[in-house]
Amino acid sequence: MSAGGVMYTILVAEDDAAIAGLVEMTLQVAGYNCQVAPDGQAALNNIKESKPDLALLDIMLPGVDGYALLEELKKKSIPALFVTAKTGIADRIQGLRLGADDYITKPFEPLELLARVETVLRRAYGTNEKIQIHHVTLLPRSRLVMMDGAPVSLAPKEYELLEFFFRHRNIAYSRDQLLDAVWGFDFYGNTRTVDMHVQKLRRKLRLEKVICTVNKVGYRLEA
Amino acid sequence: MTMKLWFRIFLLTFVLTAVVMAGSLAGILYSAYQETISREYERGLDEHRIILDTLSSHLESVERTLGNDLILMPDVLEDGVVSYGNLYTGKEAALRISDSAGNSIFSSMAENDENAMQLNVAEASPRVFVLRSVGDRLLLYVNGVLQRDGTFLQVGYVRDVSAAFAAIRETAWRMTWIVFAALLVSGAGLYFLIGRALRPLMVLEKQAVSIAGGDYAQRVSIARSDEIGSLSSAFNVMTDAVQTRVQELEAAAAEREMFIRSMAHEIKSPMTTIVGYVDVLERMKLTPEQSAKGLLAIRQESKRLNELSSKLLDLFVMRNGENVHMDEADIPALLERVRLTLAPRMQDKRIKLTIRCGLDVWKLDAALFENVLINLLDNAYKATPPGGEILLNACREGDRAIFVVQDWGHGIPKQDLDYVFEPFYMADKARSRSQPGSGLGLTLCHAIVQAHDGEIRIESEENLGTKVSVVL
Repeated sequence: MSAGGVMYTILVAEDDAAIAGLVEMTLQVAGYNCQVAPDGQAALNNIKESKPDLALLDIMLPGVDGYALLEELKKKSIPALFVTAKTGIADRIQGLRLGADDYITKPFEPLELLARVETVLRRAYGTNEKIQIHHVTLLPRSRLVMMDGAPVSLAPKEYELLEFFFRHRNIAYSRDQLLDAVWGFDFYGNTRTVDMHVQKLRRKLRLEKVICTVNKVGYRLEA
Repeated sequence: MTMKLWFRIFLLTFVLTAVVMAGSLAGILYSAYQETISREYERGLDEHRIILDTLSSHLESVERTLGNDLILMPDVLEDGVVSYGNLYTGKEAALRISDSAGNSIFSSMAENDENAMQLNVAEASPRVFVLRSVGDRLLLYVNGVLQRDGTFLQVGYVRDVSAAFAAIRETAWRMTWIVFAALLVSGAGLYFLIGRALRPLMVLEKQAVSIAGGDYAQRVSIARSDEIGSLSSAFNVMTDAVQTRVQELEAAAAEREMFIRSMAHEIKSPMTTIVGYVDVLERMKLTPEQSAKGLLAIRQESKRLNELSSKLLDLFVMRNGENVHMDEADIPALLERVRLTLAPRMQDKRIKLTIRCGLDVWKLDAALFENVLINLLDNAYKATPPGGEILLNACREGDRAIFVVQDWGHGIPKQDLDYVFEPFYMADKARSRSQPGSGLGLTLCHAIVQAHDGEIRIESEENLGTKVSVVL
């Protein structure tokens, strides 16, 4: 994902290699730049040298623990998320009190992780956001959609569906999930509504090859 | 109704004392009464006899003097009778002399007394006597026969015995009061002494209640050498035992809780990876390399879970003490099997594994013991840098077999040495996560060696190496 054309860089401080790999892959596929630090010291060095835009911290890190890293991040005003197997309420409260922007417990689903990451990023940097995929540019603040530099007029739900796809690229969503996300849980339409809106988006924005139908799942925006 | 033991003992003792004292009193009074009666009777009868005899001899001497039968001379007879009657009439005694028909010849009795006498005798009948209550007095009446030729005189006698009976009644009252007072004193004494003797029971009861409430620190201090003293010391011993047992149970529960907590934590990491990758593979557009990486991670983490579960199972089996089949095992063959199992891994890191064997056969469970050695060697392998050396030495020392696994790797920090046998304890999280391990290996070894009645010892110096000895 890009903000004004720049990719966000996310630091992943995680000592379990398998989980680090999973988080890295998830973030990369979703369009983030990712750096993995296997221990506290490596994470500290990374924070000092490459100034990431966001950090995902495991609390129980060898060397320097997550709480210490969080303090370092706060000094540099870098937002942070705790990702940890510690599930006690006390841990959660301490994490949030120290200034973590959010808290995810293991086991987590990658989509949940992405949603939290996106929320934190938008809260921290999202004022002048501009999302570009192929020939289409989205300006969420002004709800403006440009195709090859020219504005395109979209119905409100068409716009919201497009923004959802743009924000969750490369991830397949079922029609029901899309219905819930865009129309809301209390909308009593059927999944045909989703199909019709997808058709319209594809036609209006020439995204036939970008918004793909995934068999037995739903739709996915590929970028 | 609930009654305190001490009060019941007091009550029973008191009632018993009261009954015994009252019974004795009654006995004493009864015999005193009997004695008084017979003494009064005797006295009355004696006096009556004397009167009869004296009157009789007087009349005889008068007859002899006069040479005539007195019956024929009523005046003389009456004179004699009256003078003797007056002689024997006293303050307490009175006489009435009448002829055979009961006609009074002489009487010094009060009229009421005389009317109440009602005591007649016939000729040649023995003396009769009776005790009568007249007015507020007790009177002893005696009537006897004074035999004369062809006729007889009745000599009645009355004696007031009220004083004697009043005296005995007085004594009875006095003794009753004394006994009553004695009972009061002994009751108060018993109440105090029994209550005091059994008060420790209440202390014990209080302690039992507080123990039941979970306060095991309470102890009684009753310094007595009787049954209550030994009961209280037995009670303290019991409290000690309960306290120890409860502490053991609490420790065991805490250990189990810790174990489950750690286990949940250990399961969470691989589960996160597996579930996460499945989700990613299913829903995200991945390059073939990314997919392959995801699948590999799923496979590795599944393997990790599988190892964890089988080690857990082994551990539970060992802890329950089942499945240990002791047999004469061929030690050199066992060590060779261990070497073969580990050879590929050792070669990968170019580690030289030296095995020395000074044992022939030994009684042990070969399969389990192989597991111990493989676990220990695997730990040594993880600690040893590439190109290093590991030594396995089996030897005999007296009647014991000793297996030593030694490495010259990174060692275990001193502060961790005490905990290495605890489940899921990993000395260095970074190192152990980068190298797969369940955290149960040493715990399992410990359990197996214990099942063999053996001992496992670990010596280590950071950065110098580790030496684990198993003594059977």
